[in-house]
Amino acid sequence: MSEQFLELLKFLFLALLYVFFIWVVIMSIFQIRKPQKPERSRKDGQESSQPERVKSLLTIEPQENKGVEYSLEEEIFLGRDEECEIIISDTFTSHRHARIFLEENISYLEDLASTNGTYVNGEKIEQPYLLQQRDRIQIGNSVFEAK
Amino acid sequence: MKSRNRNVEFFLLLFVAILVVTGYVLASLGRSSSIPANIVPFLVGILLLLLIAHLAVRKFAPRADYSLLPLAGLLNGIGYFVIARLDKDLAGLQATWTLIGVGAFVATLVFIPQIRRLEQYRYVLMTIGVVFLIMPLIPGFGREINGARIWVSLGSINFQPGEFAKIVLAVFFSAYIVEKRDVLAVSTGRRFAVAVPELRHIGPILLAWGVSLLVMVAEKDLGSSLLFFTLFVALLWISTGKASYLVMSAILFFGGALLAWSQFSHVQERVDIWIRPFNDPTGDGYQIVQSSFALAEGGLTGTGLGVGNPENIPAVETDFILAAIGEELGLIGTTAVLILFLLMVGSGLKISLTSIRPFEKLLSAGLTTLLGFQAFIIIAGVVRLLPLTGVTLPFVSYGGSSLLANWILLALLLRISHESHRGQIGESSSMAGEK
Repeated sequence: MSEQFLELLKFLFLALLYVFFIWVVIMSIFQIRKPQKPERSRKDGQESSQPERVKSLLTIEPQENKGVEYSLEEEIFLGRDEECEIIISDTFTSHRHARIFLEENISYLEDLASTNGTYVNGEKIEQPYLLQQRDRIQIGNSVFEAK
Repeated sequence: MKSRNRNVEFFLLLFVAILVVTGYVLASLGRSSSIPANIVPFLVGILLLLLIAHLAVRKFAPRADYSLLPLAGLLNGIGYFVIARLDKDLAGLQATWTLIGVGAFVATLVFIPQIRRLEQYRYVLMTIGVVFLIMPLIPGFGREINGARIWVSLGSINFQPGEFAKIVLAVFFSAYIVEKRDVLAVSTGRRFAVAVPELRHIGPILLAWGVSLLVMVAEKDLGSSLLFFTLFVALLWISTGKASYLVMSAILFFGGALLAWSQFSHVQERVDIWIRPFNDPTGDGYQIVQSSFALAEGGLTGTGLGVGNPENIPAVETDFILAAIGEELGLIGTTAVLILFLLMVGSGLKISLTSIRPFEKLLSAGLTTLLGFQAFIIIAGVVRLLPLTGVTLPFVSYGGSSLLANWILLALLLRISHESHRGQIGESSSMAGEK
C-alpha cells in the first residue's frame, strides 16, 4: 500500500468525520425551528377560542373562605407552611403541597410530591399541568377555581 | 415527530458504524499494510451493538434526543480503534466493557422508567455515593495503582467506585438543591458588594469542599476531587442564579489548591511537571514530554492511523489517549474529539432547557457538567493547559468502570430527554400527542 494512498485515505476519513458533525448540526437546527410551527398553527386554528391565561384562583371551598381570590404571580406555593402564598390549613395538605408557576406566560400547576395529591377536575395530576379557565383545583379539603 | 427523531438517530448510527470501521481498517493498513482478518465480525459486532442500543431507545425512550447516542457511539468507537492499534489484549477487554456498557445503558432505560423516582431515594443515594467514595480507603479492600488509591478489588475484578459515585452524587445534589432551593437563594447580608448567603446555607458548599479535599488528600485523586466540587458548585449556581456562589467557591478552590500545594508532595510534583516538564524529561516529566512530542509530530493532519509511535507515552490507552489521537490524526483529529464533546454538552444543555420540573432540569445539567468537565480537565492536562489530574476521557479512554458509568449517565440523560418531550404541557395540550 503506497504512502500517498494511505495519506489520501486519512484525509478522506477526517473529511467524513466532519461531514458527520455537519449532519448532526443541521439536524439540530431543524429541531430548534420545528416546534415553532405547531405552536403557530395552533394559534391560527383556535384564534377565536384561544383561552385567556389563568390570572387568579377563586376559593370555592371551604365555605368560610368562599369568594377569596388570589392573584397568580411568577411562582406561588400552596400548602400548610406559613411561607406559602396560599396557606391551606387542614391535615390532608402537605407543608408545601403544590406550586403554580409561569413559563412563557402560561400558568402551570405542579404537585410537589404531596402525600395526598393534587387534583384537577377530579383527576390526580402526575406532572406539571397547564391551567385553563374554570379548572377546579382540589387540595385537601379546599377547592379553587382558575380564573 | 417521535419516530422522526429515532429515524435520524438510526441513520446517524449507520454513519458512525462506517466511520469506526473505516478507522479500524486504516489503523491496520497503516500498521501492517493489511486489511484486518476479523473485519467482518468487527463490522457485524459494531452494527449489533449500536442496533441494540438504538432499539432500546426506540422502545423505552422514543421521544429522547437523537444526537447523544450516535455521538457517544462514535467517541467509544474512536477510542476502540485507537486502543486496538495500541494493544490487542486491551482492545479485547475494551470490547467486552463496551458490550457490558451498552447492556447497562439498556438496563438503565428499562429499570428507570421515570427519573423522578430517583428523587425520592435521595438520601439512600447519598449514602451509596459516600460509601463508593470512601470504599478505596478501606484497608484490604481498596488498592493503590499508579499512585492513586481509587481502586477496589472484589475477587479478581478491580474497579473504580468513584466513577459511579459521581453519577449517584449528581442525583443526590440535584434532589437536595431542589428541596432547599428557596433557602439557598435567599441572601441576607451584603459584603464586598456581593450578596452573601447566611452561614448555615453555605454549609452544604463547605461540606462538598471538605469531602473534595478528603478525596484529594486520602486518595491522591486530584481529578475526581475537582470534578465533585465543580459539579456541586455548577448545580448551586444553575439553580439559584447567584454569582456569589461562584465567587465563594472560586475562593475556596484557590484556598484549597494553595493548601494542597504547600502541604502535599504529590501535588507539588504535579505542578512542577506542569510548569517545567523539561527539567526532568526522562524521569518525572517523561509522560508529558512524550505526549507533547506526539502532538508536535502529529501536526495539522497527523501521521496517519497506525503510522506514529504513540506507544512511547506511558498510560496512553487511558489518560493520554488524546495524545495518540493527536499524533495519528493531528490537530484536525483532536478538534473532532473536542467537537464531539461540545455537541454532547450542547444536546445535554438543550435537554436541561426543555425540561420543566426543576429536578430533571438540574440533573440533566449536572450530568452534562460531569461529562463535559471531565473531558475538559483531562484534555487540558494532556495539552498542558492545566496540571495533569489523571481522569479518563469519557467513552474514549480504556477502562471498564469509566465506560460503564458513562453509558449509564447517557441512559439517564436520554430518559430525562424523553420525559421533557412527553406531555410536559399537561394532558390537555394538543402538542403532547404529536411529538
